Amino acid sequence: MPQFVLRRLVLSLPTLVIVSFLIFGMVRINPDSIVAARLGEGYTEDQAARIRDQYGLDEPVVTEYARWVGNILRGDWGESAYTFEPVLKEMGPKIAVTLELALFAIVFAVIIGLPVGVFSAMRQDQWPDYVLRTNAILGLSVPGFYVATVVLAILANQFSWIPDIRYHSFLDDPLGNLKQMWLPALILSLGTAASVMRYSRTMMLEVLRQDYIRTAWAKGLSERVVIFRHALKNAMLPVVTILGLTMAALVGGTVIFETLFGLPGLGRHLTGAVQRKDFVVIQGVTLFFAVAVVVINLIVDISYTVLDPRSRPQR
Amino acid sequence: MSQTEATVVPFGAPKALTSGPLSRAVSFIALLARRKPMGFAGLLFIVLMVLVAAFPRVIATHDNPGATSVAPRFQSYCLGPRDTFLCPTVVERSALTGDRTVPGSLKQPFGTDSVGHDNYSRIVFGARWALYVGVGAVLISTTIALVVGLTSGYFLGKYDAAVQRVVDAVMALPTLVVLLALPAMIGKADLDGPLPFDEPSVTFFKLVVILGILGGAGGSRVIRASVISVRSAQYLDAARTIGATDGRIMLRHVLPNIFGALMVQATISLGGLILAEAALSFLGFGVVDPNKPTWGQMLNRAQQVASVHPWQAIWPGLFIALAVFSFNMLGDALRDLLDPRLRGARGGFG
Repeated sequence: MPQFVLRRLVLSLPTLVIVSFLIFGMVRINPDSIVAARLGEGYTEDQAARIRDQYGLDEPVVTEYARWVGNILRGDWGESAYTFEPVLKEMGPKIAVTLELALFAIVFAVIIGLPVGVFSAMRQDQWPDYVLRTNAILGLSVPGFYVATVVLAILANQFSWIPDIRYHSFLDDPLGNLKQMWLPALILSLGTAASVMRYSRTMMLEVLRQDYIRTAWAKGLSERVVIFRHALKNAMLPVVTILGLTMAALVGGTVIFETLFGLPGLGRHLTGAVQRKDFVVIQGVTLFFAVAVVVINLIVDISYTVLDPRSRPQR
Repeated sequence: MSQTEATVVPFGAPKALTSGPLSRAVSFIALLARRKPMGFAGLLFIVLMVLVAAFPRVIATHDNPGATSVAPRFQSYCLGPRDTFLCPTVVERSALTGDRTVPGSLKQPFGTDSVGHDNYSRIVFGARWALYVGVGAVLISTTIALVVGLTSGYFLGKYDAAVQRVVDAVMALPTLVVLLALPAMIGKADLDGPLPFDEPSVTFFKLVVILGILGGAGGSRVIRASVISVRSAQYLDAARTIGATDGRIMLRHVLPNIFGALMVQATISLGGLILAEAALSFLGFGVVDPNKPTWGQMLNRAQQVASVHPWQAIWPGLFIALAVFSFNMLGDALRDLLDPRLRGARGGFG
């Protein structure tokens, strides 16, 4: 067991290194564009040299990469060209907002997807199953930002309600925070909920065919006990993986939903930085997102092994 | 009735199989229609979309949905030659300040947007951009997926381990985040046609290339998996025994056997790629050139006026959803018909 965790940890290290190199490389693809973005039209060679020096565009890639990674590891993620604040310090409170949104979305996805999937499996190939499955496919196809746009349009037009522009942090105003968060999180969760539903239905169907379920029925146990005590426990485990798989898509979703609902999270921070061509911030946020996805996948893999003894590699 | 069908099918099928590729395609589509009606419906919508994209001028009611000419050009008064002060043509430059929204009517079924563009015509022209993005990016992503997946799954070993770490890394990058970040960093003057807005934009070509590269990583996993599943087949051993080179084995023996998986992967990711472009343009960072009306861009504009004209958002979003839904359904159906082993695999971009 610890061996597997160690192996998995070691395996994710090269991934992280390559991720860091890709993100570092983004800035180096076209150094001229950075100079142009910072200075606009008609700059002198002197000014350009200063910018190149500031972003380390003059030095060899290897030297610069080593220095960049070193700084990142020490917690020095550079400084915004717009606010002159350290990138990491600026990101701090915004990470909490994005994390909260993503966590809420996952909770909603499980609350909606799991029971619906289980129920659908219990009524396999009867009309509730068809209705629920069709809805799940719709949930996967209809983009979340479209649903959000239509919902916001209807709320604004019919009920004169628009999202609160002021952000209420959870610590200062828990109720206001929840009031602000539940709607974007709910709509964001729909796509993931559909995946969870489809997956948990398949898993449930598989488990329901197992011998020990037949034994449970044969013992004369009630449907409630068979489903909840015997089947659900075993069907639930693989659902963890689907949550890990959808994480990258969910992260992309937070960018859109923070912009739509005016939440001051990392995603909106990123769109702002792109608009201002604030490269150090763009680099920092992208790096954070990518590392977060790698780490979440790692946690999912490990927790899966801890939870399900069958998936442990037998050596 | 069912009896006649039962007698017709077994005799019809082998006959169709022996004849040319066209009748084989026809009989495959017939099979699709019979066994997977939803997938067939998806195919119908895709065919419709291709037709609309190929001949937009025949179908659209307003020509060229550019910034200055799609608005219903009308003369409010006409005392002399057209387009002079005696008979001015109203185009939306004059209307940028005011709201020129027209609700749906028989003449303009989807109404117009806030600057007076005919929504129906823009959606018709948008089909072309959606397919440009989808097909362009899918060609790139499938090529990458094929080359990476085929070699990685065939050679395995150290080469595979190294390649898979890179694939891991690319897949860890959230698509939308990279799509936002990368275009801002590459290219100097990102002016994509006449741009009235001071927004970071990306040339259409670059967007397609980035989407293709990002999609290729995920696709290569699926291809690799199916290559591994045919790798130990006896016909490969046979080919090796008679001295076929690795390249020949991959192209002549492995490739035909994973072709179904490749098609499925391409179909499903096409929907995802269209969705990714729509999301980016919806945020205002994808295709911002009003001469290239993508559905995502239309939704972005609709969202800005959503509180006043909530129905504006319905049409472009509906067509994005329909396109994605169709490609997903067709891909699912193809998967079931072509390659049952692949059931449960997923396309890119969620």
